[in-house]
Amino acid sequence: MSGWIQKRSRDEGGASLIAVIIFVTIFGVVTSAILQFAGTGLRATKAVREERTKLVSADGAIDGAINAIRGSKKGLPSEGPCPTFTLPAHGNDPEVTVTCQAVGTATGGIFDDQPIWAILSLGKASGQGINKLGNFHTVISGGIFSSKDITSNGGPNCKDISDDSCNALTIYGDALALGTCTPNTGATPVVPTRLFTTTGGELTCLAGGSDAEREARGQDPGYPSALGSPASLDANTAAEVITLFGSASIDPPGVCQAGNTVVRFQPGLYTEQLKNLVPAACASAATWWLAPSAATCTPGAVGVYYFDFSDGAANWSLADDAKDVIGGRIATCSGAAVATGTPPWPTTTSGTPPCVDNDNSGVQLIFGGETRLTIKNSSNRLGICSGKPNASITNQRIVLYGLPSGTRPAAVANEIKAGSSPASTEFSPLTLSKSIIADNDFAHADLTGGLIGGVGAVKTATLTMSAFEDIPFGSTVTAASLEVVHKETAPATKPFTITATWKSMDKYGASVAAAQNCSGYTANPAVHTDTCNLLPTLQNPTFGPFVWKGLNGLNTVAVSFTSNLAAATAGTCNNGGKNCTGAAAAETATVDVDSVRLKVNYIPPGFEAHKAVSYSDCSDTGSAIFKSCNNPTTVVAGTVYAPTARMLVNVHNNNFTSFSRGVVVNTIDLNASASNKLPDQSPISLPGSGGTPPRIVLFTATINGKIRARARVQYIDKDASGEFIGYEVKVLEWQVLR
Amino acid sequence: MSDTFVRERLADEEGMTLVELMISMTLLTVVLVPIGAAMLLSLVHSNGIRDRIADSSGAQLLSSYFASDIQSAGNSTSSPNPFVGVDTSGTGSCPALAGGDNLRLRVTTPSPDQPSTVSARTTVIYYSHPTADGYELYRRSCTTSSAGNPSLLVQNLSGATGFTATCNPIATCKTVNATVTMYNPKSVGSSGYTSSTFDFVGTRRTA
Repeated sequence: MSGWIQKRSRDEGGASLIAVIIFVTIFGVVTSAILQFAGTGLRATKAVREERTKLVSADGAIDGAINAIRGSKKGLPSEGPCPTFTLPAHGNDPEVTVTCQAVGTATGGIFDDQPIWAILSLGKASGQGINKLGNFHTVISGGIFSSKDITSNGGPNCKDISDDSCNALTIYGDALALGTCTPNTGATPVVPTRLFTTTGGELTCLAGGSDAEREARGQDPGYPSALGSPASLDANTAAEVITLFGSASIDPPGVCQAGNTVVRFQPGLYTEQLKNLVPAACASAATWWLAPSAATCTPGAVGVYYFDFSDGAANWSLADDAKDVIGGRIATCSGAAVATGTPPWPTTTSGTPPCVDNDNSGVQLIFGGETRLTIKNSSNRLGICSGKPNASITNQRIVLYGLPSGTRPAAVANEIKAGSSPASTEFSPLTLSKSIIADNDFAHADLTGGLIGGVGAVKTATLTMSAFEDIPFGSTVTAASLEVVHKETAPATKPFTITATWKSMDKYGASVAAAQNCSGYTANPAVHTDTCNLLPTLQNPTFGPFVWKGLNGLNTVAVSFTSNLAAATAGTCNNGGKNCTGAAAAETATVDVDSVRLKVNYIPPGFEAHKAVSYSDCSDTGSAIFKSCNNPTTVVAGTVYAPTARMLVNVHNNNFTSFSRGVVVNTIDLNASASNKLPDQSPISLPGSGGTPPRIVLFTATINGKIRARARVQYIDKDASGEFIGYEVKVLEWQVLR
Repeated sequence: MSDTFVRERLADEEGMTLVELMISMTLLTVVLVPIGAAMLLSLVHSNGIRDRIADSSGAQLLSSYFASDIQSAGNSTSSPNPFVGVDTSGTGSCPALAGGDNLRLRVTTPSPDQPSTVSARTTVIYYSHPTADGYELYRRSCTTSSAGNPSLLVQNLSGATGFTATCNPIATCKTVNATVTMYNPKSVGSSGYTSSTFDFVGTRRTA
């Protein structure tokens, strides 16, 4: 080492290079680490800046879009398409496109829980549209649209909008008619004299003119029912129909509750009038409750009742039933039962329905076929609340749905085959066909009156058929008979009785024994067919058509042939047993059965469109899905959607009439008489203050195809003086998306 | 300096003169001293510089998220299911926090296209997370159907409560004031580093 030091000390080489290398290395490492850290920060800053630029651009674009329509009424559901706003690219700022969607429209708005119009009439024939009857002023809170006419005939003219003593309509919103508004001044354009809109409302009567834009505003929204679209319902097979409800929910009987003061019904398919399904214990109950669910009162259920009463007996009249009807959740319900006492009904100062409104529970009543609802007087009230149905089907809170299309499956005439060979102790051989074909394959039985005293008599021969095939559950049976192909030999004075025995059902689906005695058949040695009508004992005819609920009733049919054959007689003998007279052999008969056919004509379960059938009620002979007469109390907290049907709504005295989420019908006749004590109460309205639907708009900002921001905004178009378009903008939600 | 002089100077075997040596050493000293000082300083203060950069970056990230999160917050009385748009309790749609984590802010944003659908709401939480060296501030965005990965916003959080957010006014929480304090005890004194404090203000857009 000392040598190296000496050598190192003598040479002339410097140490500067090594020192520099060491220095540069250490310095470089430290500096590069710091620079790298700073560089990362710079890059992050750039990325953050770019992201922030996009978000700020999206924010700004939405602000621009909000202001772009602030001064118009665009965004009202009835105002047509909402324009798209584009913020052009500038420098490093990207182009932003903001779409504008009026919520609550039928074309995909996310608040599709109410119609566009308080009244939308779709009928285009003469006499159809919106007809104001009576002689008293009526207010409609919300716009109205008639695809034909708006009429206010009869009664005096109005002096102005505040004049109650006249036959006029005042609309809080727009009033549009594609037809004529009558009466009118005769001027062109049409100026109606009994139709008013509040300040700012559009009033247009086209008198048959063509206006595609306006016509588009009154299109049938085509709402589906809570079960699906009419087309999808129509496509259901009988089995699928039953699956929708469950076999236990076909004409399910009511349940007595609240000390027999309330009859609770459950969602289901009803072919029977409800009065036929009330247990005897609560026959005098004043209230029928259409519960949202069979099992629970917990909010969240929307009960669907499909009513398709039999043709000719399809008018559901609350007055005839002498009942109040409540549909929806009842606040006093606990568990699955309603507590004692019924909920309060609306008064002159309160329109609160007896059911819980505006939550997720409620009912939807779907009317098919000739089924319609009538409210005749103040003693029998109607209160129905809608619920929010499955959003995947619809958001509309429809409470009364008139099925616009669909055809019940065609009637079927069917021979039901027995599933097993017949059984009998009298007949043999038992090789006859299983009830279908007359093939001269007879089962033979010998009958006899028996020996003296009737000993050994065989007067009845019975053939039992069993294990019949089923027909679709829930089918409406229109005919049922037993056809027996047979021949007999018997004394001419001894007619046969053919007795068919089976188990029938009562109106609740319970099994009861029944026998149909088809008597009076005369023995006939030729092969012939006798028919025994089974329908009368299948069900009491006062309950309407018999609805098939499985083979409970017809699983076994026993056909008995009975003839009153005389037994052998010994006669009277004299002379020690000689000279006997009057002795007779036993009467005998033979029965040969070729087949026993059970024939049932039925209509499989299915959905069918509401049928317009004229009927006389409420001093009206027209067809309607709903009629109300004098003094009705009608609180319908939901939408009526019956695009092919007519409604007749009467407003009288102090009795509350309210359809609070609009009606979509073919035609509506609105009758308000001078006895109306509630002139300022709108019998038909939409939710929202002043009757105008809220102008709520959803803005969506997109940059390069990616949604970066969304906002839902409500425009308040009124100030203290009444109207100021774009007066205030409320941001309901604002969402930035990264 | 002619070519002859150079050739002679290169050819001879003489070393540097004293003058030359002094000049070169002087020059070397002039150059090396500041460089050495810089190196010394960098070695001494690198931690502080690093933490300042980290604090600045964290504050920048936080500002980027915080403002838009508060801007999107729902109001406190939205129907039909009232909820609190800005809160400091509960993790909403996000999973429960791990032990030691400390929830500092929760922002609930209803979706404008499904405003009444609870499952469509987005929950954003800010929480402090302990590490071996102190605390960090994380942000996590969740819905009922998916929980996003936590994002690290701020290192060197001064403690579990190093990030605070308060409503103004308390009743409506229209504005949210937030303060974040960052502090790394290992760097204290380095380059004068003590701690960093940033204030933020976010304003809710909803009515």
